[in-house]
Amino acid sequence: MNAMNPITTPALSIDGLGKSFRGVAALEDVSFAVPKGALTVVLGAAGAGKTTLLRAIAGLERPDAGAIHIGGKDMAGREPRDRDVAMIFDNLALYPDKTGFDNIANPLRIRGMEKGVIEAAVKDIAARLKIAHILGRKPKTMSGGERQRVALGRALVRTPTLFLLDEPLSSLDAQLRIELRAELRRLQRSLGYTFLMATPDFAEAMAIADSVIMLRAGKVVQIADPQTLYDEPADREVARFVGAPEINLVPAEIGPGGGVRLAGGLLPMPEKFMPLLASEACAIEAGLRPEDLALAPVDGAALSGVVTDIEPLGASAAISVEAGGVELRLVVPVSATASITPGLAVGLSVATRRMHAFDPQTGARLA
Amino acid sequence: MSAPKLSIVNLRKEFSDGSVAAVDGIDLDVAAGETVALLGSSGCGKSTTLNMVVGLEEPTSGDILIDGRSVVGVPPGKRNVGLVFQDYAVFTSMSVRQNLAFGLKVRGVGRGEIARAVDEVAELLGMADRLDARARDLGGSELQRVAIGRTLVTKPDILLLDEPLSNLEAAARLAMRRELRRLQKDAGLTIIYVTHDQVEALSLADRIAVMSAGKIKQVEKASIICDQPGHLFVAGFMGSPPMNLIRGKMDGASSGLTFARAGFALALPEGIALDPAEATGQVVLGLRPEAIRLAPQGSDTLAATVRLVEPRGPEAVLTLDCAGQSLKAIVPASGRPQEGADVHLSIDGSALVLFSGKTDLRLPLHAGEAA
Amino acid sequence: MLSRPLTLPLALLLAAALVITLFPVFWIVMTAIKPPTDWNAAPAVWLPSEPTLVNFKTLFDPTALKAYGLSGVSQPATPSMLGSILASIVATGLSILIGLFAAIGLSRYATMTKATPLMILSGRMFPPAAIAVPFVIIFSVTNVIDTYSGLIAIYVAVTLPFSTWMLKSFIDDLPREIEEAAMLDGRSRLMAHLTVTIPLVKGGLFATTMFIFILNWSEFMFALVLSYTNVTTIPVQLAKYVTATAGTLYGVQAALAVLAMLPLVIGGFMIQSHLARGMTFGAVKR
Repeated sequence: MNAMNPITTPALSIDGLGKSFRGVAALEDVSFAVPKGALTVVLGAAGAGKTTLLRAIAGLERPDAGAIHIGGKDMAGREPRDRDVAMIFDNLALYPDKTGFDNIANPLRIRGMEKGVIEAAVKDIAARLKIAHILGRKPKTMSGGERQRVALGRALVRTPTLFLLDEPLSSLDAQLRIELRAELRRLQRSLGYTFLMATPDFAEAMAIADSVIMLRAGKVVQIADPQTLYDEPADREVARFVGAPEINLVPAEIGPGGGVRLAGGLLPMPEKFMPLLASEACAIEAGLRPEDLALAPVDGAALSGVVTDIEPLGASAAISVEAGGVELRLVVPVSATASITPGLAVGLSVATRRMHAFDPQTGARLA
Repeated sequence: MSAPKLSIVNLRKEFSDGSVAAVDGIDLDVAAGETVALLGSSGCGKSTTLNMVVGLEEPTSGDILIDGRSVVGVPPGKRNVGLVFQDYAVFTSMSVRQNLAFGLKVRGVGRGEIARAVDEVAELLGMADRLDARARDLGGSELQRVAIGRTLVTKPDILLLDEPLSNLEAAARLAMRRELRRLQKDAGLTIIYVTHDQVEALSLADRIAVMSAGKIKQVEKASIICDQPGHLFVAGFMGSPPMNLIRGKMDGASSGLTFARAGFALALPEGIALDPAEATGQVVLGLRPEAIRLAPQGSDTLAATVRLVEPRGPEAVLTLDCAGQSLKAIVPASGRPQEGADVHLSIDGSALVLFSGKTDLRLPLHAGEAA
Repeated sequence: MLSRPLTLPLALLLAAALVITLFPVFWIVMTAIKPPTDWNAAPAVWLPSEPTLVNFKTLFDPTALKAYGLSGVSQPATPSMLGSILASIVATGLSILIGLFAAIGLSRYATMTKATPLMILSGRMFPPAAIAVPFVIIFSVTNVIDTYSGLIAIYVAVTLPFSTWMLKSFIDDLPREIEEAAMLDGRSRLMAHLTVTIPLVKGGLFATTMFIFILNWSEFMFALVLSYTNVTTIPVQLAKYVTATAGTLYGVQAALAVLAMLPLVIGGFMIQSHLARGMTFGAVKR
C-alpha cells in the first residue's frame, strides 16, 4: 500500500472479503470503505451476512479471502484486541456478574489505566448516556433500554478507530427504538466517532445513516446515501426492501409509439424511459411506489379499478385496488378513507416521473 | 345492541408483594366478530391481561365474562379460547396434521371427527396440501398458520394472539394480515391480540385499546385513533412521529386565544373558543408533525433551527428547536434543509388539539361562538 | 415444600424409597460401633449391645482387637487413607483441568457432528472389569504398575469423558459473545477464557469437580488390580480385612467405610442442585 494521507485514510476499508461456512458462502467479494466520522449502515434481511461481516471486521471470524484495513493498517492475522475496534453485540453481552460501573470500566482496567482516570471516564460517559443512576446495579435488574446504554458505554469509554454495532436496537420496543436511534446518531456526531451499524430495518437505516451498504445473500448490492437508495434503487429487490408499504411491481410494456401499458391502462412515458424506446415493444417490470399513486375520478383516469382492502397506517391508510388484473397499493390520508369501501370503483393517477423500470429477468433497474 | 362476546370488568392483578398493580382496573367490551388490539410498551400490563383472559393467570379482583358467563377460576382448557404464542410453540417433532389434531385428541374426540375438523381448518388456512409435512421443515408464516390452525380446530369462541406479526418479514406480514382479516370474516372469529408496535395494532384491529401502567387510556376505532386521540398518552404514543405535545397556558385576550409557554407563543385561529372553565390554567397543546410546514419568513411564521434530519423515503422528519421547544415536522424529501439550518415554520391552526393539563383528556374546541 | 399434596400412596412410596436407600448406611454405621460379638450374630443385631469404638481404634492400631481375643490385621489403615486422598485429589484435579480446556475448545472452536458426542463419551462405555486385565499387562510392561502415577493416569482417562462433557454443557449455556466482548475490550483469547468464561461457570465447575472426585474416591476395580504393595486406596484396604482365624472383620470394615463416606456425604450435599443438571449431559438443545 502506498503512503496514505492521514486525513483521507478511511477508518475502514474492505476489499474482496469472502467467508464460507460448511461450503455455503456467507460473504462473497464484499468491498467498501467507511470514511472517518461517518455513520455507515449495513442493511440486509436476516441471513444476508451482516453479522458475519461485522464479526470478520472485529477479528472474531477469519475470512477465507480478501483484506480488511482499519485506520490504514492491514488486519490480517490480528487478534480482536489488537484491532482498535469496539463492538456492541445484538445480545449486548454484558458481564452478568459485574455492576454497570464495572462493565463500562472493564476495557480501561484491562489496559491498566489509573483508578482515578477510569472513574472519571466512566462517570463522564454515564452522564452523557443518562445512566449514572444505574451504575451500581447488575444487568439483571436493568431494563432493556438501560442495558443497551451500558453496552454502548462500554464501547464508547474507549476511543477506538471504529465502532461496530450489530442490531443494537432489535430487542427494544418500537417506541424506544426510535428514541434511541436518534440518540445514537447524536452521540456519534457530537463525539466524531466512526460507526458501522448492521440492521434489517430499512427505516432505521434511512433515518440515521450517512451511507447505506445494501447486503443480500452475502453480496454488496448497492452503496448509497439513504435518499439515493430510495430514489434510485439498483434493482427491484432493493426497491422492494426499502419502503413501506412495499413498492408495486407490475409487468408493463413500453410501446414503440411511446406509452407505458400496464394494469389495463396506458400511461404517458416519463422522460427517463426515453433510452428504452425501441422499434418494437419492450417488456419491463414497472415499479410504482404507493405514495406516487393517488385516487382520481374514474372518468378520464389513466388507470381504474376496484378497491379490495383498506389498511389504516395511522395518519394515512393503504388502499389496495385491483386494476387490470394486478393489485396496486396506494397511500392516502386517513381522512380520505371515510368515503372508501371495498368494492368501490375508483380511478388512479400516477406520478409517472417517479416510475421505475426494471428488467423482468434480472431485476436490475433500467431507468 | 347484542351482548358483547367478551367483557372485562374492573380487572385487577396485583403481585404478592403488593407493590404495583400490573393491571389496575380495566374495563373492556369486545363485540362478537370484532378484532381488538391491546397496545402498549413493555410492562403496561397487556400481556398480563391476555394471560388472565386465557386463564394462565388469575385476577386479584374483577371479572371476565365470555358470552355473559364469568370464566374466572375456570381452567384454560374449559374456557373455549385459543391462544397463539408469539413464537408459535408448534410441536416440531410432529407433522402438520398431528399438530392440528392435538387439541382434539387431548379432549378425547373420535378419530373420524378429528379428521374432518383438521381437513376443514387446513382448507380454511390454505394448508390442505401441507398436512403431511414435518413441522420443522416449515417457514415462519406457515408455522404461524399451523399455530393458528391448532387453536381453530377446537372451535374457540375467541382467538387470542401474542404479537402476531412481529416474527414475520414484511411480505409475510401483509399476507398474514389479509389471512387474519379473512378468517375473521369467514369464521366469524372474535380476535384479541397484544402488541407493542402501533403499526401492527393499526393494520389488524377494528379497535385499539392503548394501555399504560396497567390502565386503558383510550379505546377507539383504528381508523380514527390517530386523528382524534382522546387522551394525552395516546396522542404521545400513536403516530409516526407522534404529535408534538407542549405544556403551557392559555391566554384569553379579547382578540382571541393564545397558547403561551416560555418564549413560545401561538395564537389559535379565529373563531375557536374553549369552555370558560378551561380557558385558564394549564393545558397541553398537540401539534401534528404534518401540520408544521417550512415557509419563507412572514408575519405568522416562527423561527427555528434544524437539529436533526431523518429521511423516510418520500419525506423527511425534522427535529426542530423553536424558541427552546423541540418540535418534529414532516417535510417532503426534495428541498429538505440541512442540519443546523435556520428555517421558518408556518403552523396549520386547524389541526390543533388541546388537552387539559389536569385530567390529560382532550378539550373539545368549539368553533364559531365568541368567548 | 412439596409441589403436590402428600397422598397415602405417595407417602408409602417415599417411605419405601427412603428405607431402601438409607438402610445400608444405617447398617454400616451401626456395624461400625458393634463389638466383634455382634458382627456375625444370628439373628442379626440391629443396635449394638455395647457400642464401642474398638473398630475405629483397630484401623490405626492393628493390635486393638486383641482385647477381644482376635489377632487383628497386619497394618494400619493410614497409608490407604493417604493413598486415596492423593490419588483422588490429583486425578480429579488433572481430569478437571484437561476437561475444562477440552470443553472450551469443543464448545467454542469445534464443529460438532453427530459422531462427536459418541467419540467423547465412548471412553466410558467399557466396563472396568473388561479392560482391567489388558491394563495390568500394559502397566507391567511399562513398569508403572503399583505406582500412584499409573493409577492416577487411569483415573484421569476414565473420568475425562464425564468431565469434558459436563463442563461443555455448562459452557454451552454461556453466550460466546461475553468472551468476545472481553477480547474486544483488550484481552487475548486465552485470558478472555480464563477471566470471563471460567468464572462464569463456577457453579458447574464445582459440581463437576465434586462428581469426578466421588467417582475416583470410590473406585475399586482398577485400584485392586493395579496395586500390590506400594499403592493402596481405601476400597482396596477394605477388602483386606479378612483373617484366617476370625473371618471377615465386618466391624472394622464398617468403621473404615464410615470414615470414607464422610467426604462423599459432604460433597454430595454441596452439589445436590447441580447433580440432576449434570446428569442430562447437555441433552437439551438450545
